[in-house]
Amino acid sequence: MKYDVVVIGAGLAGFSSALAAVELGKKVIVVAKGLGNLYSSSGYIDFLGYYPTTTSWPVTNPLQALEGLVSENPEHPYAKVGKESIIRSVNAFLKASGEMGLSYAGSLDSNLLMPTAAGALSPTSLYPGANGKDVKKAREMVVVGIKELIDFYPLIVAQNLERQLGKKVEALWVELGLDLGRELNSYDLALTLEQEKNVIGLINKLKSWGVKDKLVLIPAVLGIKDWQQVINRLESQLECQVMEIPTLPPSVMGYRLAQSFMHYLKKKGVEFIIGHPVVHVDCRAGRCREIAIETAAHRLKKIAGEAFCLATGGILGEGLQVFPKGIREVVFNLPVKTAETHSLEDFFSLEEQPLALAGVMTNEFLQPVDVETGEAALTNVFVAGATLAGYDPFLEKSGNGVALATGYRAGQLAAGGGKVNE
Amino acid sequence: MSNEKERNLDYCLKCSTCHTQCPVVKSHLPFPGPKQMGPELERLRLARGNKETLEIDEALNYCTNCKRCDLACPHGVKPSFYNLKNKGKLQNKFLIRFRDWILAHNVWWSKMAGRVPALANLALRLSLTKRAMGMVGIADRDFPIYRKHPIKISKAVRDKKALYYAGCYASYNEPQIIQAAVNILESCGYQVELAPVACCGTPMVSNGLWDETARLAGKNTDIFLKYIEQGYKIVTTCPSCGLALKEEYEQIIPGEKSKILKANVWELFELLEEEDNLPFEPAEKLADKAYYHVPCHLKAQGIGIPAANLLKDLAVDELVVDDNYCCGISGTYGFKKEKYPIAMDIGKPLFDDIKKSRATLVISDCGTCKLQIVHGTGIEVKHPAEILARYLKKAQ
Repeated sequence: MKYDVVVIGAGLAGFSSALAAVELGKKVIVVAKGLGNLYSSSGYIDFLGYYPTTTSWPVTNPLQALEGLVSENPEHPYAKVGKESIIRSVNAFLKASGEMGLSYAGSLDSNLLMPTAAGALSPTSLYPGANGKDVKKAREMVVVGIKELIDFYPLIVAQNLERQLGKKVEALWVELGLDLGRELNSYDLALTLEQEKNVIGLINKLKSWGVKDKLVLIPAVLGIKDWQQVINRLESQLECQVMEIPTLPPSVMGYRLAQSFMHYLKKKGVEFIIGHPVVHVDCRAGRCREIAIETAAHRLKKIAGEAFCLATGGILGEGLQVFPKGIREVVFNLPVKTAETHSLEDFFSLEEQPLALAGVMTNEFLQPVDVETGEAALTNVFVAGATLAGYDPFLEKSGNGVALATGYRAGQLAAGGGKVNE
Repeated sequence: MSNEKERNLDYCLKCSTCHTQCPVVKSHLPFPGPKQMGPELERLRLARGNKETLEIDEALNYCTNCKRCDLACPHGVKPSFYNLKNKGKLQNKFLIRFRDWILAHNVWWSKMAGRVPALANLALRLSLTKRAMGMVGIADRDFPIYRKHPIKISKAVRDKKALYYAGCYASYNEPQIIQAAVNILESCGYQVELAPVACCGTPMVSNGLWDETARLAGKNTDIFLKYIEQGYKIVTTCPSCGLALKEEYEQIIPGEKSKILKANVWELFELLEEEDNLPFEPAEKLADKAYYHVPCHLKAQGIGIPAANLLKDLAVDELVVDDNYCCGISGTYGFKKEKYPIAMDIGKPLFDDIKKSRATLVISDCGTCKLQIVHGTGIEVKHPAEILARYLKKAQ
């Protein structure tokens, strides 16, 4: 079977590549070893939270900060794809997210500080359905914990928020009276809140606490499908504002994005084979002709393509594998740029860890290049997301932003034979 | 347990992505899910010397063995393996064991019923039979109809040889699938023989009969290997039989034999992808709009959906291909009284999606998926081989 574009990897970068290619009318398949780490993510799309990375003040206008970054740091993936391309990816994502029923809000012009499950504030540009809600602006806030839910402690969240925002944040516990004979994670709880009686139960519990006119921060468990309706009901019946906080894995906000995005792409005609790793590639004269995945029979299933997007992730995603003597890119064995020392003496140092910058070097067309000569190693392979070298997603808070922007660009380049019609 | 499998456990980061893909968790929240029942508790079992079962292991009865957890794992862990293996160590109550044993040996009852299909079909519809089944914990739902049908096979000797393994469902309930598969293989130039193998063992291992499955798998493997030595390819049309030979046998009876076997097993349309010239020609389309339900065990084979493109080209104007949903029946699972409501709840999103699509025909490779979809939607379901055999070139 031959495809116009073969995407390897099923995280945000891979989905974004597939979106770009299918929008250009191409026949697209996504293959991956498993579902991506998007399922464990916050669902926030952060483009640039801190720049320069040494500052402890979050970026307020990412687009402006990006301009500085692009000129000062030409090896950064954002510099490779350029500002216009980043903006295009945001517009494409906002449009698609609306069509998939997720309606992300936000823009590149400003960062919103969004709370995390530890009560930290994460600067992020795009976020699901939280339009007009802002912990900085809210006058009164209350963090709600649910007794049945593991790994979410409203007192810690409230205390940390209080310290950072300099205003009083209340915390309270509610018990929904669920007895399922086991502890419940956020996905489980989100399933229970798909049931009418539990939504009513939650509303009644909160009524007795008096949350009127407050911003209610609640772990993201308000349903896996119909969460927006649950939020609307809570808001209208309790006369308050409701904002969900992403939880530890399984993160329902990440799940909603990953699941909706995949279903959306399937509806657009993108094929998926998930659960079977790429174990073989056929590359000749600087081009990849086909890849092969390992089937259940341990035979190879060959998949030929005009172009390929490599979006297998970084070290956590296992697109890069770390060995005592170096780092390997797992699919094409592409040259990986690494530092002499991988990590700083102090593991929890807030300075850049050299390992975070390791990855596949590319040219401005996202084609992988030889680290020494800068020549393109493969001309019809386009690299996206955490596999890329030259940025520190952890300090910059740019992981999903880079995935989205480089993924989209890689998809367009793959669809256009290395060119993008602008 | 082999070191390889123990190492596999260590790749589990407890991200719970598999938990979010488990159809049972979604429909029956008391089920702790694949991450906990699989890699998480396996560490505890190993730490305790891997001898006793844990109290919580009883929940393994609720695993359907759909394999969606295996495919979901971002790090290559296969929770279903631990679940199947530990199911085999459970000490269930007598009545449950008895009922599960009856369902696990479906092949025996099918063989008997297959001799006198009319009588068997009548007996299965009697209220007395249904009451008796209810008493042992079998759900009150329609059983597949037994049919007998002589199969026509060419005796011509050819270089390309296929041993077609039909499995129980096609053998006893829909022999027309066998004829269709044989016709397609013969048109592709294969000398076809029917495998002298009855049950693959999937119903047994799913019902916790690990040791008995191991014996059966060993016996079956020896038969298959004799044909493989003579140059035969093993061809399946039942996704669960196919997956058993390709993946589960190697887990149940690890070794050189199961390795050789798995490398020689082909799903019918997977094999057709290797052919240069396909023996099909256009004819009148069978439906304007059809809905292809991809069975979980076809998805788990990692071969894509090889029949889909042929179906699109030849048989239907518009084909909705779906691999998002599990139908819920999971072989014998949906025939168990206490699991029937779960099976129907798992299947509901699929039934709704089929109805919403307004397709007049459903296509699916799996016999029990078919039973469940007909039960849930009332819409006709056909095997892709049965459909595509109609488009074989005439005058060969």
